[in-house]
Amino acid sequence: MLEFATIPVSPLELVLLLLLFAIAAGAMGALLGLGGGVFIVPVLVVLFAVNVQTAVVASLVSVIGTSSGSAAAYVREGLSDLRVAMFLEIATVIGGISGALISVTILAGRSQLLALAFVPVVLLAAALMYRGRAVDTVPNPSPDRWADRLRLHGQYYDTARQETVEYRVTGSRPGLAISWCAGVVSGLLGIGGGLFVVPGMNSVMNVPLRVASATSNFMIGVTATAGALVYLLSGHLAVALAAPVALGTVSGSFLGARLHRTSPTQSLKLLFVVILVLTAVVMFLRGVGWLV
Amino acid sequence: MAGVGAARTMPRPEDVDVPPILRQAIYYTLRIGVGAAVLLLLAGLALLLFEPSSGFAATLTHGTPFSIRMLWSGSAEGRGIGLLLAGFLVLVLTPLVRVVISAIMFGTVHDRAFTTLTLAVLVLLGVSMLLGAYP
Repeated sequence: MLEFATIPVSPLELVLLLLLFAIAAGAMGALLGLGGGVFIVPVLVVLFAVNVQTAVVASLVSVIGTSSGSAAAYVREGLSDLRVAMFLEIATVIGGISGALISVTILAGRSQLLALAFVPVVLLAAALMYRGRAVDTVPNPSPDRWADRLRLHGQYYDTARQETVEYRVTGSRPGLAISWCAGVVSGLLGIGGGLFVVPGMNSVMNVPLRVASATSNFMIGVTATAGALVYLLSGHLAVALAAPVALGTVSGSFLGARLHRTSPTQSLKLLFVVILVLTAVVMFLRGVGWLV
Repeated sequence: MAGVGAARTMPRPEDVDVPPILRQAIYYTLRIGVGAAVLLLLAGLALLLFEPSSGFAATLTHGTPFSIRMLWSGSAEGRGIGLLLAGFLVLVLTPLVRVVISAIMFGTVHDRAFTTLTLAVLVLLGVSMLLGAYP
């Protein structure tokens, strides 16, 4: 039965509605640097009555599109730190595969548990957005042997300050651990994992925030692919659902990136915090079975 | 940078960066991959929408079995689904291709540590494919 907000709809209407909401989710995600996943799964579950796992898989493949699309530009500008990315990808990929495997085996048919797993993640997103961070990087972090040996330290051109900024990477091992967690959450919940990787890279590894978010964007494609390959090849992807979702979020993210040039104001941020908290409440109610 | 001393002890930019051609190659891989996937998805969706059939609703709500043969199905409905599957396959393989390119590039500049790292990521993605294909 196809329905939107409990109203029965035709396949064509459904596809158009999916496109519309996916564009909005993609634009919001790009505005906040979160990727659309945090928004798209709750929208599919709550408004379109899609099973949580089906929604997660559709979101995960669209995440590959949005991150690859925007990462391309960052990579050419030299804002993405490719060495840090490839170092951390080892961990996110292992995490992504584990997350997808947990979902198709242990959690198969247990949608409520998946819905509940969303609650802390969405609340974390809200908290991070609300708090912000005053210090970007420190000039002399504690030395890190792995970072030295793998030459993870880097530099980028800061367009706002109009100068080349150098940074020294530290905490490579806790960085790996955080990346693994991000991978698991990505494979399990269909989000990119930037939610964990960006603050982790910034506050634990001393990577400047702008580089961290460009690098995370670049990594997300590979992280999501690790989980998506498991889902796609094992026949868990609802293709006609995922197609408008992917097309919508990709075009939405281009739209959002345009708007991003004028950075989001405080009031806009507050609005998103409210939306995220409401999302958490709805997913919680679903998870405990008080809302279907 | 606050600490001038720290800046002096830093490796030179040539050392810390990756081969510049790598950035270009990755840029084009990502752009072309996502572009091709978008075209395939649009075509598949159009086919399914304009030749509606009983199977369409199922692909909206349930997982679609994947097989290489399904990518080239004869029926109109099968063609639409095949195009969508092909689109998603291209989308999923795009990051994988960029990992392959990275491994080659790091290999050509004899960066042994990073060649190993990128190859390890590639092996892991291979494991992911096997786990999906043979659950």
